[in-house]
Amino acid sequence: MKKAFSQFVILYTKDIRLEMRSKETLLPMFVFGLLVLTIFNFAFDFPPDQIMSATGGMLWIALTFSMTLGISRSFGLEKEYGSLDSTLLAPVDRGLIFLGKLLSNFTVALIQEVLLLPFLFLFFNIPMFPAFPWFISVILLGTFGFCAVATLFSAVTLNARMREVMLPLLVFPIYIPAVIGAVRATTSIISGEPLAWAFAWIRLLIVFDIIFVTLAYLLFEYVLEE
Amino acid sequence: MTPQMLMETIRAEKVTKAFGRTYALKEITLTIATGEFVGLFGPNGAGKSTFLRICAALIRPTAGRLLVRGKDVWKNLTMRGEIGFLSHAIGLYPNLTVTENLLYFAKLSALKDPVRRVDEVIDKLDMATYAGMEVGRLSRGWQQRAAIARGLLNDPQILLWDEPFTGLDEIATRMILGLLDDFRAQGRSAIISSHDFSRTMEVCGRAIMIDRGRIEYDGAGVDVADAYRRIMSVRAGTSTAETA
Repeated sequence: MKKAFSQFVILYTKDIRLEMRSKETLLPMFVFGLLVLTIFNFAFDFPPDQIMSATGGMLWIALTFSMTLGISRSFGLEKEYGSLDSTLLAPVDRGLIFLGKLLSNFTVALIQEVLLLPFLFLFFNIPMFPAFPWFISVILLGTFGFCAVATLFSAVTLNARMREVMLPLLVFPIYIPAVIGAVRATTSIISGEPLAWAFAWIRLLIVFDIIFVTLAYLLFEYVLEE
Repeated sequence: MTPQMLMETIRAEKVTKAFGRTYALKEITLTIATGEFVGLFGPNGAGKSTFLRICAALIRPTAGRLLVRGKDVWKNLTMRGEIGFLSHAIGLYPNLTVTENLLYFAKLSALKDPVRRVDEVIDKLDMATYAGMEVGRLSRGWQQRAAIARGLLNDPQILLWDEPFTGLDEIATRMILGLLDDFRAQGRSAIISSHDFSRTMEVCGRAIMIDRGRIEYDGAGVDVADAYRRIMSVRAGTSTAETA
């Protein structure tokens, strides 16, 4: 167990070090997310009383699209130089490779969100609301679930032609239940509705995350073999 | 495990690999003894790389089994540490330095004293000057050297090397042949997949020719070039017939 944890930390820190050095994933993700929010800001002219009901949808469109862009690169870089093979040659459980990659993708996505969220509040004049910690919980759960599904399918499409096109086509249908939950919970919290309404969607996100992280962990070995 | 199995480094029993409906390997059966150096030849798409990747436990055979030193590598994770695999890709992270790359793989393989082992390998390959440079900034020859360092890091008993001489100048080729000589002198085994008969057979005592997933030749290697020409003429004949 101690060895497995140590290998997980080694895998995770390597990915973070690579990303911090190159910023090949973070920068495109952030710029793309910002562009989507900017377009929404100019495209829709909602009256102030309706803006809150649309913000959740706009936020999650920006987040899922930009995360897809970033995560599609995560295994691509490993494949390009054959370094994934070198990692697979080490006596390390394949599931740990998935968990390391998932956590590094999640970390990069969170950094992007920290940079992006102020623009959401600024563009749509959202005042600070009392349930802000719950808003953050929804962001964390929704992002984690998305990263789990996208990381798995990023490995599935590793050898596919038109990998960048294939990834969203595979990920989005599976992520639909979670993104519905995330949008509803976000909108509900921002609009100041009773928290109990948001909790039902938050529970859905928790269940989604548990199911897909477990499934992806178990399937990852078979995904890498083919 | 029988005493015979202990003498064998690799034992392939009817190893078959299919990708969808395409068979890359069809019932390959062979044994490679401890200390034996084998040259693996064949035209492009013959199945050489697939066989090496199965031996390295990177892909699982569709049928049959492959034992490394008498053990199934899929059931014994630690057996992976006995294998060194070098493909034509450098297998390193271009944005990390040579030392960072090697330390990452050494720690991941849970080597004892990884820092010392990395220093040893860097010294062995005379790479100290370039150890602090990012791999992506090195020339092709030094990248290849860094890749070899990674392959030798876990002090493997079996070396699997896919196309070691491709794109290298004479000096780098001599360095690789020297390394292989050292490796053989230590009583270890190797399978070297190549298109270069003369250089490969400088270090190998046995040649295996694969074509369309089957072994077409297995011998001392004197007439391996003739076997290759035969295969190519059969292929040319087939392709002419298909065109007609």
